[in-house]
Order: sequence, then structure tokens, then C-alpha cells
Amino acid sequence: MSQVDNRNSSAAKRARTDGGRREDDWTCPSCGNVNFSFRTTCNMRNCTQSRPADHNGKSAPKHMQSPQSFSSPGRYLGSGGPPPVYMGGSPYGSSLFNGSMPPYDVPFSGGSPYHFNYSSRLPAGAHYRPLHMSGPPPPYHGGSMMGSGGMYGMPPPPMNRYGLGIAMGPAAAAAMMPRSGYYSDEKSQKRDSTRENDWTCPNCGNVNFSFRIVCNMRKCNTPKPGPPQLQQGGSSDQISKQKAPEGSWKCDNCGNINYPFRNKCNRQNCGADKPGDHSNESPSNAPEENDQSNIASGRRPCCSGRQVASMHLSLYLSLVLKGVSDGLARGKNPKEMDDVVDALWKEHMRHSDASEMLNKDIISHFVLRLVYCRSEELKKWFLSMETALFRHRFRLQNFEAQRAIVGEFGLPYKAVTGAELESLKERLGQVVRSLGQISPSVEAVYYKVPFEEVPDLVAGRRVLIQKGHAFVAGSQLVSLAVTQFRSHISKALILTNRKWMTTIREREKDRLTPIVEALSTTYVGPDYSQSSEYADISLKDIDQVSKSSFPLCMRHLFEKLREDHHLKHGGRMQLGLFLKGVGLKLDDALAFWRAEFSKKVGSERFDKEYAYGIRHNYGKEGKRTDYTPYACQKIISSAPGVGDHHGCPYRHFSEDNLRAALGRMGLSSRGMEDVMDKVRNKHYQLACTLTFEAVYGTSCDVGINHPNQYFEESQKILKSKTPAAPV
Amino acid sequence: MTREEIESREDESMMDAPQINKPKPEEFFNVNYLRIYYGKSPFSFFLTIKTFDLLRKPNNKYIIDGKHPGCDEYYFGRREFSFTLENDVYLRYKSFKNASSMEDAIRSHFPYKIDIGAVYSVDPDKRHAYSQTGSNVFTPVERELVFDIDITDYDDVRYCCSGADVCSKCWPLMTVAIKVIHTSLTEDFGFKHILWVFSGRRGVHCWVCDPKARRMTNEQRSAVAEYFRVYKGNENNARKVALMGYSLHPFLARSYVDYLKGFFEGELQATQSIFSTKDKYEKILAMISDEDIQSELRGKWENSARSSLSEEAISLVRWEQLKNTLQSKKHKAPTLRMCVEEIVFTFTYPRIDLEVSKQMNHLLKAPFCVHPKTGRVCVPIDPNNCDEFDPLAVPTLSQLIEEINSGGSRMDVDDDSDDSDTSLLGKSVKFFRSSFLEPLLKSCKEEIESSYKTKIGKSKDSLSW
Repeated sequence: MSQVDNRNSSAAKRARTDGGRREDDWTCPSCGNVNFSFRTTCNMRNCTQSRPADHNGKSAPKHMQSPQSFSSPGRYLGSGGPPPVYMGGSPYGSSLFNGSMPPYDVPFSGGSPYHFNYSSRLPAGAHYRPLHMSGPPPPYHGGSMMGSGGMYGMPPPPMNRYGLGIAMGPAAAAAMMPRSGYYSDEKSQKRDSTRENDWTCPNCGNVNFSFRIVCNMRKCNTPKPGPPQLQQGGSSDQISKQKAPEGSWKCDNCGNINYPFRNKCNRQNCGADKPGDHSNESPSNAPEENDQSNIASGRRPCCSGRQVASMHLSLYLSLVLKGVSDGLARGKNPKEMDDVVDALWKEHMRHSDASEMLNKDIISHFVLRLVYCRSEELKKWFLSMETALFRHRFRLQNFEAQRAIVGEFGLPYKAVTGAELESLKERLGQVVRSLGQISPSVEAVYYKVPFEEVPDLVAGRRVLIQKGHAFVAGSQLVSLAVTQFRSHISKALILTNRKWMTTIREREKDRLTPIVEALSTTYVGPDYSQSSEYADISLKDIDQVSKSSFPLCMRHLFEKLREDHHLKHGGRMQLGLFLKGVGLKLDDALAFWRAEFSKKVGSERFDKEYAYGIRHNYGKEGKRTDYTPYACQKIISSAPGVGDHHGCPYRHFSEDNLRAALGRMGLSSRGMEDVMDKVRNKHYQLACTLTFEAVYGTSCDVGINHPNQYFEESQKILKSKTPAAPV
Repeated sequence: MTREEIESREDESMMDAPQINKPKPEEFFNVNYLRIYYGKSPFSFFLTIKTFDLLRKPNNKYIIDGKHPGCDEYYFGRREFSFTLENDVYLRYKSFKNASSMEDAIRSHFPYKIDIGAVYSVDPDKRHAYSQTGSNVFTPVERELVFDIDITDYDDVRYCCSGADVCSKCWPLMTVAIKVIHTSLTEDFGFKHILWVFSGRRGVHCWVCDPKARRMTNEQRSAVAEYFRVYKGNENNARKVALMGYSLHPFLARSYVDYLKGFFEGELQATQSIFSTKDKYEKILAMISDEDIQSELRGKWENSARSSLSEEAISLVRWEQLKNTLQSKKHKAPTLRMCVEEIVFTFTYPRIDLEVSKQMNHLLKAPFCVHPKTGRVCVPIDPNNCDEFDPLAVPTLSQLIEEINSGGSRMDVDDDSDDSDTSLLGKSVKFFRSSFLEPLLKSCKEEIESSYKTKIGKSKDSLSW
């Protein structure tokens, strides 16, 4: 099904691309760029070749999309199996559904997305608490059939299968699950066997699922033979006898049996109205007006109680993850984070009944997967927060429990013993000492793993690496577990995302989609890519504002730019995006940077080499992403090198330089000592907050998390101090 | 991505601006020469481009001789190339079905520079066709692990040149860098297929082509890059290297003992005399976090300013003084424990441009390209004999043209005849083939065959089951 969808959309796209090149367009003889007919010079950056006289003569083959372009990757995927990175999915998502899974497509050919099925094997209430590693069998899932829903990384519908709760329609559910598992009365579990209602294409011989109305073979599209109405109706009736709940209705148009709550036929490409139901209540209007409180209190007409309950549950986990995110942003060290996680977990997730807690954990996790699978940014956030949560919960376990969990991953790594360990002892001791322990106490247990498995340990030089193997100490087990956990969730999110984009979003647009969309937007921090009400500075006050309201990092960059008339890439990015967030318009930004850079490199070179980057930041070039200003977290973790001035002054300046810089901001010596104290303890954001408080003489309870936030807070204060005078 | 690219180009050209007294670049490099270089190919630019990139990939040998069933014939078609044309016109995301279409494109565009990017999930040239299907199908899937080291990054520790200039006095810094990184890549990470290439002007590139390296994720690449990172200097902190803990990590210890210490006390002192003048030693004193020691040493050195010794000898004497002083006060403060090592690392440890290594989609100039500013060919460097490499002896485009004109070179494109040794590039090509390409090809062949066998085996198993 998804294959059909995808092909259609790419076919449409192809048509558009082809049409995109009109007859009068011309190809640049110098760089090959295809230009609109109205252009007189080539539009390619830095080319500006003028239009040749016989522009119609030559066409660039690379812009002509030939049909082959689609067959080649398809063939590649079909014959060789999906490439490793795709984790079993192809761009078309085909191999998941066309019934002929390649036999060597191991990772996802069975079982849950994790190799381990931790929660099901352990009695609830075991001495360690459930983690999100579990496969999805909470008690009220309809047996194994729902369990297998986890196979493709989708949340299993946490409710029963009759469409209550967040249950999908049958087609959506089919999209999420291996078809063989869907009908519980079907005994045939073999993937490659043909099922009763499947039909064979008379044209190409492909065996299609029963619900397809056209052949699924690429480029075939032959309609299903026989009177589709009758056959469809027949099979649906058969299903309805077995399992359609009361109140289900049959579509007049295609004969599909729909669940009682549907107002429109659920069959793809049908969508006919429910017969005799022309009530004014149009579900498609409702979603837009829904706000968080509505969702939480369940006033949504088409939300059942269960759906609300599970969405509600997911809010708790959201709160925990948000707390983790805050903790990390404040630069807490691992020990402090352990406490933070422990407290958050107790506050939000604890339940008197251990199995309820397990459910809460699982349901909320899978709901959030759906919520956060939808864009790269959301995915990244969710992934890093879940991983952080996992890391700290793992650390809270004792060693035996940790080993048991790692055992659940089924990692094949053996402890190093005997002569090998002896021969490494000296160097292992060196590693331990290099990490700051005086006595070289080599641990008893070391695991030998490929170095790729423990990137964080490699990056910190915290392990011995030899011939491609890292020697991981027993106390570093967490890194191994985290890597596994992270890659599992990451794969699952990618697959969930694919299903969401191709099928479920559209199918659930009246029910699930609005909720899912609302849930994620509620929990992301303020977006500084749009300038706020306080901002909107213009070129002429930029100097004055930089002195009054810029945080130290930006002030430093700004001064260096004025001084050297040049900043390196990192500095241009950090300052440029900040200024964008502050409200400097693109034209002003270009004028600002040009004024400085032209003093050093000349305005011609500026236009040629730097203007592109600035326009890029504003989403006017390249892939046209509107970049967001860097948050403190990112700035602190950046690594300025030779000639660089970006980064967080509190972290990257030496003490003398920082003192001098703070002095220029007008800090008293006492205030400075407080700041330096925080810096020494590596609380860079707190140091910045203290600087803020010292400069403006007010307390700043929220803390500084973002340079643009610093700017806004300071503008607020300055405005309230001088209400009459415009800043 | 694009912007990083700009950055690197911009820096290059910026560095160039003040060198007016140099011969005009046209003497080394111009389009007409390039035409000959690409076009007539008597010394086989294509052979090398082809072999490097086509054959580097697991299966390409098989594209050419046919039909190993396990090979992926679209691999090359999904590799991104980028061309930099005249006037910095920059074409990204080019891809070619096969070697001859690439050859044609090169001959019609005459790119000043050819960069090699990642292998993507879909043909980069057709990425727009996939961009609107919603999910993110256009992603890099394989990429050699690359490293880029530029002499420019050493500007604060070399006193002979600055910017893009290189001379025989500062090039040893690169040599040490190659040794340190190469040893670690082979000893620690267990990589076998490593190619070092002169970047044409002011640095070296490293390509790690093992299958394992090619398939690493961005996160794993960052991890390897961070493993190599010691130098954390920025403009606002005098202490550029901070070594914590009570001993060096085994990797750093090996680098220090085997390469850095000897180089620092020998060659670096001889060429740069890093303690000889006040400007120079003040920089080093700033790295010592204890003020008493700083002033003690400063006192000694200021008084001995008028010595009859040579610069190098003065420098060596002062280094001994500094070592002894620090040794005797070792237990005074924890920050002094590693101070000697920190100074050595600051001056000699490789300074890798980490951003290049961290992302799969970063582009890097292809070997055997011609550097547009110097006209020098990006020839491979033998890491085992890197001491002998002289960047100033690398043949330039004009020299090659001369060679062709005089009829000296009779290298054929398709077979490596023995007389290749006599031509300017012959040695490099031969080295490239025998010590990099052939072992790589062999192991790729083995890999394909074994994976094909297991595939066959598996499908048989599942059939019988």
C-alpha cells in the first residue's frame, strides 16, 4: 500500500520536475546550471555567465529526469536487499510489505525491535525497575498479535483492537504490523505463504494483498480482476461476521466495513461518507481548535476515554524528559543528573502497583515515539533525552542488575581473561591513571568489544584501544548498554517516522494526527528563530544595544569583529544567528557584515564569498533551512580552535582573560569572585546568570539558557527602567 | 556543509592575498594546461581517478570485468562528486553512472578542483526527485574516514612561515603528524587501507578506506576524531593543551615517547629555536600556570640574553633549564604535573581539522588533482617513508606539460608499463597502485565474495528450512 502511495507521489514529483524545465529555459555553458528564461545571466552562485545566444540548443541532461532514475535504485534495493543503513526499509518501504522479505534481512525479520524482551521475561516488580528496553507486551494487549506490532518500531496500539483507544483503523493497523499477525484467527504465520484473499495479478503475476485494488508491482498498476465490489464485500462481510463490533457500518461505495466511530469510509482512496450520517459535526474542524487543556481533559469529541488516558500518561514521561533536558542544559555533572533523574522519576512515574507503573512507562514511551518521530529535530531531542534517562536509570542499578540488563541485549562480548588480561594490565593501568586515579587499580572484569560500540568512551580516551578493539571495564558497562539502547530506539524512530509519513498521518488526520502534533509543540522550548517583540534592532542601534544587552559571548564576538573586521566560520555562525534571533533583518545583516568585512577583504570578495553564508543562515540558500540561533548548550560544547573567538567565554577563556572581559562589563570585584567561583565548578550558565544579575542589579530566577534569552531579559529590564525612552 | 566548504576556500584565498612577490599563479596553473592534463592523459589522470574512486569501492573491479553476482553495480552512481570551476563556480552533488561519463564531464567542464563526497542512499544527481516523498531518503550511507591537517593551524608555533606558506623548516610538523596518526590508526583502530595524500599546498589528507571505516556513523567518526584531539587552544586561553590525570593515555604516551619528544628536542629546536627570543619564550612561560616558576625562569633567561651561543643552542639550554625547574617543583601543584608534556604536545601534536572527519557528507579533494593556487599535483605520501617527502619537489602542472611536450613521458593509460618510473608522476602512481590500491582491491574482492557466499548460504538454509 505504501508502495503505491510512494510511487504516485514520486511520479507526481517527476512530472513536476520535468515540467519545471520549460522550453525557454537555458543552460549555462560555463557551469551547466539551468536558468529560467527571463534570466540574462546565470543564476549559479559566482558564475554569472551571460546568457548565450543559442540558449535553446543545449540542454543539461542532469536536469531531465528520465524514467530510469526511478528504476535504478529500485532495482538495487530489490535485488541486493536493503542497504545496511536503511534497516530493512527502502525508500518505498516496499520490502516490508510485499510479502517476499529477503531471507537475509535479519534485524527485523521477527520479534520486537529489540533482541531482548526484558519486561516479559522478568516478573513485574523485580528488583529493578522497568526500562524502555522492553518489547511491548502490556497486559491488555490482545495477545501476541499486538505484540508483534512492535516489530516495525511502531507503538502497539495500547488498547484493544476494536478501534477504541488509539487503535488505528484496520488498514492503518495493517500498515504497522506484519499482515500475518493481524487476524488472530489466521494460523498461517509464514511470511511467504499466500493468504486466502490475496489475489494474483493477471498481468505480471505478482501476489497482492487482499485489500489492494490495483496490483502493487511497480509500474504494473493493473486493477484487481473480477468484480471488485462483490469480492471486496464478500471478504469484508466475512471479517465483519467474525470481528466487526456492533454499530459498524458498511460503505455504500466500496463495501468496506468501518468501525462505528468513523464518519467516512476508511478504505484508501474511497473516503465516502457514512450512509445516513450527515450530522453537522465535522470532525475535521475540531482539531485546529484543540488546545492542550482540551486534550488533557478529554473534551475532544472523537477521543475515547482510553485514548485520553494514554495521551495523559505520556505527559508524565514528557515531564521527566523535559526535566532531564533542563538538567543537561544547566551543565549538571553525571552525579547530579543521577539525583535529578531519580527525583523526576519518583515524582512523575511512580505508581503503587508495579505492573501499572510498567504500563505507564511503556505506553507513554510508545505514544511519545509517535509524537517525536515526525521531524529530525524532534527525533534528535527525544533520542538524546531517552538515552540520557536510560543512562541514569542504568547507573542507579547495582552491578549484577546491570549485567543482567546487558545480558538481555544478547551482546556476544566475553570478558577478557588469563594471559591476554595479564599482557594488557600495564596499559590498562595507564588508562585508569590518565583518568585521574592515583593508584592504578585495574578492574577485575574487562570486556573486549569493537571500538565502534562505545563511541563515548573512545572520544574521551577512557578505554584502551588495540587493533580495533576497545577494552571496556566493568564499571563502564553503561556505555555499551547505552549504545545498544540508542541504536534500537533510533532505528525504531526512523521506521515509525516512515509509517507515519506514508500512511498513518493521512489516515488518522481526524483523530490522532492533531493530538500528536499538539503534544510535541507543547513541549519544546521557546523558538528564537523568530525575533520577539523586544527585538527588532536596526543597524544604527546595534552598537549601543551590543553594549547594553548582549551576553558576554556575543559582546566578545562583536568587539572582535569591529576590531579585526573578520571572524572565522564558527564566530560568524554564532554571532550571525544570534543577531538574526535578535531581529536583524537579512538586508541589515548583509549591510552589517559587509561594512566590517570589506575593510579587510574588500566588498567584492565579501559578496563573492561571505554573503552566501549569511543568506544561508536566513534560509535563502542551499537547502533553505531557517537556522535557529545557538543555545548555551551548543556554544559551551563547541571547540574553538586557532584564530577562533566563538564559544562560551566562561568556559573557553583563561581566567585572566575572563576577568578582564568581566571588568569591561562593569562587574565589581565581589561579583567577579562569585562568577569565577561558578566557573571553577564548571557551572558556566550559572556564571552567566550571575553576570546578568550583577550587571542589571536584579535577580534572574529562570537562569540563562540561551544568548537570545539573555538579550530579551535584559531588554525587558531596560525597558521597564526607562518606560518613556525608546531603546 | 556548503558553508564549511566556503570557509576552507575562503581561508585559502585569504592567505594568498598578501603574497604579491610570488610568481603569478598562472605560471603554475591555467586552464589550458589543465585541458592537457585532463584531456591527453598521457600520465593517466583518469587512470588514477578511476582507480582511486571506482576501484576503491568494493565492487568496481567487477563492474569492469563483468559480473560478479554479489557486487552492487549502482555503488559508484551514488557517489557524490563536486567540481569547482573557474571563478569559484561550485557544483555540488554531481554523480556519474560510470567512469566514462565522469571522464566526459571532466573533459567538458575542466574543473579546477574535484572533490569526492559520500556515497548516498540514492543517486545524488536525482536527489530532488526523492526529496518530496516525505521521508528523508537522501542520506549518506558510506564514506571513507578522512582527516585533514593544515599547516595553517600551526601558525602560533612556527616562526619560518605563516598562512599557506610551507618550507622545509615547518614541513616536519606535518611529517610528525602523519606518523602519530598513522600509527594510531593501524595499531589502535586496526585499519589497514590508509592513504596519505599531499593536499597540494599546505597540508595533508588522509583517507581510511577499510570497509569498517566507510560504514561508520557520524557519531563514531566524531569519537575517533575526538580520540585524536589534544589541542584545544583558542585565542583567549594561553594554555592550549590541558592534560589531566596522573599519566598519559597509552596512545598519547606512545606518541610522546616514539615521536613527539625526540622531534621536539631535535628537529623542532633546530629549525624553530622556540626558546631563543623573548617573544618566543614568553609564549611558553604563559603555559606554566605557576607564577613563581614563570618569574624564576624569566629572570634566568633575560640575564643570559647576550650569550655567544647559536640560537639553537640557547634554545636547548633553556629547555633543559625549564625541564629541571619543573621537575624539582613537580609536587607543588597538580597543574604542573604534566607541564613538560603539555608544552611538547602544544608544539608538536597533530592539529587535525576535526570538522572534516566528523560528518559523512564532508567533501575532500580527490588525490591527483592539481592545486589551483600552486599547480602542484596532490600526490600520495608513503607514511613509512614520510621523512623523505618534500612538498616543494612535488611536480607542478607546468612541469608535467613540459615533460609531455618534450616527449619524455610515454605512460599508457591502461597498463602500468615499467617505464612509468622515469616520468615525474610515475613514482607516485606506482606507489599508489602497489601499496594502496592493490591490497585494497584484494581485500574488497574477498569481502564481496565472502558476503556473497554467506548470502547464498543463508538463502539455501532458509529454503531448506
